Amino acid sequence: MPENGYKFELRDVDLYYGDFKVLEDVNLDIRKCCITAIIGPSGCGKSSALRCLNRMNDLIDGSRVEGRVTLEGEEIYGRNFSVVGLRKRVGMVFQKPNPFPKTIYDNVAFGPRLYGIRDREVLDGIVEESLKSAALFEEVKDKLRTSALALSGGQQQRLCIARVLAVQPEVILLDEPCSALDPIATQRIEDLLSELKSRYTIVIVTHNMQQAARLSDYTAFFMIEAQGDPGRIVEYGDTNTIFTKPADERTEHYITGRFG
Amino acid sequence: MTTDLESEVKTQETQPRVDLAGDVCEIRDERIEGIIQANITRSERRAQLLDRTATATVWTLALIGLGILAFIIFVILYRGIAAALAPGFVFGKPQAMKEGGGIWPMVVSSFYLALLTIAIVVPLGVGAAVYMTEFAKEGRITRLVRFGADSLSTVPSVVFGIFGMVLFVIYFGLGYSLLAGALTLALLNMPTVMRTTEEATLAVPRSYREAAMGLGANRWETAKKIVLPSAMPGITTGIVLTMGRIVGESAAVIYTVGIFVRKAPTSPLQPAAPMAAHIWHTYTEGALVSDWMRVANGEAAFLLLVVLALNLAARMIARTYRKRLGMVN
Repeated sequence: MPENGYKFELRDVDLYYGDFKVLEDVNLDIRKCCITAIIGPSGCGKSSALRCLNRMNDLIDGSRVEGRVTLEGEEIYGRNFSVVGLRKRVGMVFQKPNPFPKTIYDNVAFGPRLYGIRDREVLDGIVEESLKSAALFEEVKDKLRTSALALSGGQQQRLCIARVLAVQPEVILLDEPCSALDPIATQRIEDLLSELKSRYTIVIVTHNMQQAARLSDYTAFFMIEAQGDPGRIVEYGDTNTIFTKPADERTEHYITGRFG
Repeated sequence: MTTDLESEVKTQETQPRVDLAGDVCEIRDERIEGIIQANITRSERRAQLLDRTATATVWTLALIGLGILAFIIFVILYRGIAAALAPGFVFGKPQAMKEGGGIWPMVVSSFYLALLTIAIVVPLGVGAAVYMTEFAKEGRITRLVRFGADSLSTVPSVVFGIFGMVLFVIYFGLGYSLLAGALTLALLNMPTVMRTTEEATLAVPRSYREAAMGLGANRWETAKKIVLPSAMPGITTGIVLTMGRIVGESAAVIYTVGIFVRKAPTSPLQPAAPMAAHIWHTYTEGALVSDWMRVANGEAAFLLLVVLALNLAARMIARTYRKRLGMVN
């Protein structure tokens, strides 16, 4: 497949949980080294769409994806595609900070160890590098051997980002990463993401429209027509256009706060 | 219009007062207010009375339960502690014909049996529980296994004893032995180990599993590296409590292990006499020695101390683990 600047390409994707259709006709091209924001009212399938990208939906009994999702031209729902390999390439940060009940060091080293890295010095290097990239190293360098659960919420979330960076992914998916954080911690995460986008492709689901406007290069607006309908993309384009002159009046209504 | 308003103003003198302030219309009627106030006071008083009575009742019941427990512990220790702590009792040789016997072989039997049982039941119980929570899809099979485990846990231990005797002692030809007893007790305790492990693993937040899988761990790696370590406090507590139950079990042991030995067992294939079974034996058939009462009471007191110590250990182990995992500060 020719190089076209897209990391992910979604073509006519439908997602089902059992008989329930969660997403319909999702077409989305996610550009490399950019931040793509997914916005929309609660229950419109934003998080489900995000979880299609690293096959986290597989964990839900009866989930099924129709259509094509490709990562660098490879179909990720294809027969021979390794889910483990996919999740190494596409890391995920969750809504609530979820560090393991282990030390800070062991949290970051978890991924590398999973992929068979045992050498002490190599691990030390990865841990330090990842914590530095996540702008956390200075705060925790003296307590790498203490429990990660003693950190503040914002620090925990940055630790979770460091944990993802430690396996050297290509893409970072973030599912409302700041919804449990205060404004200052949120600010730090946003600064961090802006810094990281030069090296990683970032997709972020957010409830916070200012955040999407501040942070992202591209924005996809998801919506459901009525309760029980599948979520669809209403509009997708560069963030400036979406927020200043949206093509669809539903987008305009949503971003001006008329519903949602 | 004016006439309407006037007539309204007139009627208002006998009707509820209407205050108009901006858009807000507030209706006040002193009679209704009074009734509501009286009702609130009455129901408040009733709630207070109910609250006090309930608190007093619950406290009394709790105290009665605690009192009975304290009484049992007191009686057993009162009658036996002197004998139990006397020199040469716990570590002494037992006597079948004369006075002054000790209980060392029984102490060894109890711990030997407990460790052997744990070695059998923990892999089975923990394995089954982890399979159920981490691997199996919720469905007919998991329901069947849970139903089976729940049913097993209601079977009286004496029934397990007889079953163990028929199957392990006679059919498999193990004879009265620690191994036959351990296999029987493993069956008896399997449901509890499974249940406590299941509870401990289910209490591990889903978000830990998601984080591990999001990093590319498969189910087995997630279970081994994240779920089991996080569930360890609960699992260990369950295991140590199970040890306490094994040490205290008599009925199932009488039919499979033995009730009296002169020497401490050295092999799992030898017969043995765990303390609980030996106490029962001494009380019912021990009259050959004149101090059988002293031996039985002393042994009971010692057994009680062992079980209490195990329970205490379970709590301490759980606390240390949680501290190490950073779950409490």
